[in-house]
Amino acid sequence: MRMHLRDYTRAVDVPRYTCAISPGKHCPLFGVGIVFQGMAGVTLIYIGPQDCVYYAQTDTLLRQLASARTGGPQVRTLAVQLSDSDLIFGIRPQLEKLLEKEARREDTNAVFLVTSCSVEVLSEDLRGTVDAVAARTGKRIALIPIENFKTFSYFEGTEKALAALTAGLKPLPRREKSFAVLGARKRGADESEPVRWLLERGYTLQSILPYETNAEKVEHLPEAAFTLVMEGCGLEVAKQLERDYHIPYVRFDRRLDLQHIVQAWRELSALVGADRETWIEEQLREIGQMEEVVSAKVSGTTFFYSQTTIYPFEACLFLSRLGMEPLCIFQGSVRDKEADARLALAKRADPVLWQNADQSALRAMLEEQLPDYFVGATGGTIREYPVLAFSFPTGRVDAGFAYYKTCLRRILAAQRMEGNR
Amino acid sequence: MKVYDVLPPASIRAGFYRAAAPWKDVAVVEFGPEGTMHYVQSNVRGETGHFFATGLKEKQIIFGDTENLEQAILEVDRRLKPGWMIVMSSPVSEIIGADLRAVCCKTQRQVQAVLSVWDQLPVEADEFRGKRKAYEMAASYLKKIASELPESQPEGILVLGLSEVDYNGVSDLNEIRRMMQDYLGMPLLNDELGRYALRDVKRARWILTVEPEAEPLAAAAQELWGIPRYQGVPYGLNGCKELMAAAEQATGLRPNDRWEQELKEAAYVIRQFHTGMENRRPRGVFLDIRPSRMAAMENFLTKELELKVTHPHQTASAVSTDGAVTRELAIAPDDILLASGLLCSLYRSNDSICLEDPVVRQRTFSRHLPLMGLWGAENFLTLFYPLLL
Repeated sequence: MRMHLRDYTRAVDVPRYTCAISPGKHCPLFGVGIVFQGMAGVTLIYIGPQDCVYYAQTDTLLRQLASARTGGPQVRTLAVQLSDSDLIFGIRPQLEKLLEKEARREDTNAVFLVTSCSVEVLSEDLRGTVDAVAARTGKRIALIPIENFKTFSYFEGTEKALAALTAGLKPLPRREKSFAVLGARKRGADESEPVRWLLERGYTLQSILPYETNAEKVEHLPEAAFTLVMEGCGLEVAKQLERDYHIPYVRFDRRLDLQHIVQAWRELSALVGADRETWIEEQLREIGQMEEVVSAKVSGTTFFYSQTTIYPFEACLFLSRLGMEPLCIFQGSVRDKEADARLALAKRADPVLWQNADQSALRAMLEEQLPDYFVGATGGTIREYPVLAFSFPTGRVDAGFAYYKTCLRRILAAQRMEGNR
Repeated sequence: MKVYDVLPPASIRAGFYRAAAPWKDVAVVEFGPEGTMHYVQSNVRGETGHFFATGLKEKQIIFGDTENLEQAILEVDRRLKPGWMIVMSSPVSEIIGADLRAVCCKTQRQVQAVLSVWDQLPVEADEFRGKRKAYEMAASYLKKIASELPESQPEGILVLGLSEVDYNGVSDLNEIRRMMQDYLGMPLLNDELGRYALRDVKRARWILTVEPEAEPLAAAAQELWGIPRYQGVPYGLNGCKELMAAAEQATGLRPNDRWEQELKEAAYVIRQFHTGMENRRPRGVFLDIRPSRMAAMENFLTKELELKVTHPHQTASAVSTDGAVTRELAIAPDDILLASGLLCSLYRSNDSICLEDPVVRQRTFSRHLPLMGLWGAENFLTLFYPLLL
């Protein structure tokens, strides 16, 4: 069944083009692994059937190798493989024993227990077990329940892990001129526009969560004077830190909405006590000129959208404001945090929505109606069709006006595919 | 429960997928969440476009709804037109007790592919059992369709259990291809990546199973069409001699003079290795590769290269809560590791050569650097000897 933007209810309700998924989205266990790399003093326990713990442990060990290469600290990870009898008779007594043993290790400050689908389907009360051992040992022990069958994408695993990691931190005195970056999964945040500006003004970057942090830095998060949210997966943590420790946050995650970029810069300027209005005006003037050039080229054209880690409706609204018309949106792994971009876009267009750009879905839609532009990864199927293609950068973390301008340049640099079909 | 602070053994499902990856006329549909399929596909190197998941969601778990699975079977049949489709359970669908057989009974009439079900999998079993199961099921499939296959003449040699799925598999396979072509004038039926259609097994003149788990399929071909078979891993010169002797016996073709000439050259290289080792401090080798290759590699190392080899051994796990057995790795600081990529990487201060499952930095750039076969023996020494200096 087909869904159009104006029929949208929830991200999870957007249909898949096919019931035969290959390869599908990442498991949220993968999203958890992203957070804990390099966390010395932490024991991460994956519990589940052989398949799940094998894959999750492989992924974590590979991340450890990457961390070891840069001399970074290591998280201790355990894979707990369930047996027949565990599934039939339950796992509480054995698990309690294991958690206690781990919590009492001298070099362990915290234990995180990560479940998988099968454990959740069995509905055993693991939270009770975790709380009991935490009370007995005085160590931080947290449960991260993972249910792939309930989640939209692996980002939810990352969000849950970040929430568990930063919950219950001890309040600390505020350190002036220090800040933390939240939600950066990849490198580059320290060179992004707002961070560079803060560093130039003598501010200290306390940590980049989850890309570059460790247990000690997490413990010191409550010291930060403020936080910057770079991607959506950091938003809930930012709210949690504001709620629990009164640490204000500035959202730079809405990277393709000019109004929000201006707002973020104004909020940051106010926090720092600097006047950036002249600079903001300059940026807006420059962007206005660039938009005129881009618009002259793309206005009246159509596009398919399939980027996986950028807010889809916000990105399509950005393109729509340049005069482009979305015909089809493949949602990907990230969903917009607010409804405003979607509602604004729905007033301008009513594209078809699909869950993600499975090759069969992409091919079928391209056969049905060929757009002028394709926005997303340009491997495989898309090369067979005569469309202009570009993608917004996602390899490095960036934000602010700089990122917005880079995206405008990307549109101008669109490549024509061979279209040998 | 078993607790591992290193890598737990790969599962029976993982083994099944690794065995089924090279089959061109087969599709697998798993009734499970999509995240597991993503992991499967990133874990199996090579072609995995014929593996699918239904993306099991909460609604299906609560209401026992299997409509998605039915749709997936119909879609895969229409899109890929496989000769055989295997419908497989996932850990979650096992717990909720989804009746996959009923679904297949219902949909079989609507599809051209032969449908088979694999469910009620053991909760704990290793990948080798999964591989064996895959080949057993393939054997049953061949028996089922044997009468429909057209008459054909034996055309070449088929290699089972060696393909792009295996680390360095394409290089090793192509060395076997070269040996068969150059010394016997016989082509291989596998394509350049080691893939083949199960329907083409009948066209084989001889079947070489590099993994013993593939034996049930070779045995079925022998039973159905009298195709001779041999199981072995051609590591070292002795392994190569055994391979060529078996090929000669099975095909009746005598290896040409080039075989004798190149065998002599390889033997000379091994003598050079021994000369190079004289007056050098001996170093041990810690060997930890898949069981099916262990004996062949160990024979090469101990009998031909005269090296001292140690293995991991079974012991009670220090971190298990139920006294489970795990492997103890008695690796000496001076040992040279011949093992999986992860193990080599975790023991960074030891010299090592990755022989299985590489991590990113261990992937070779060349598809022409075999470690099996005659040229493989020489290549191995080229990699190994500098570690001793």
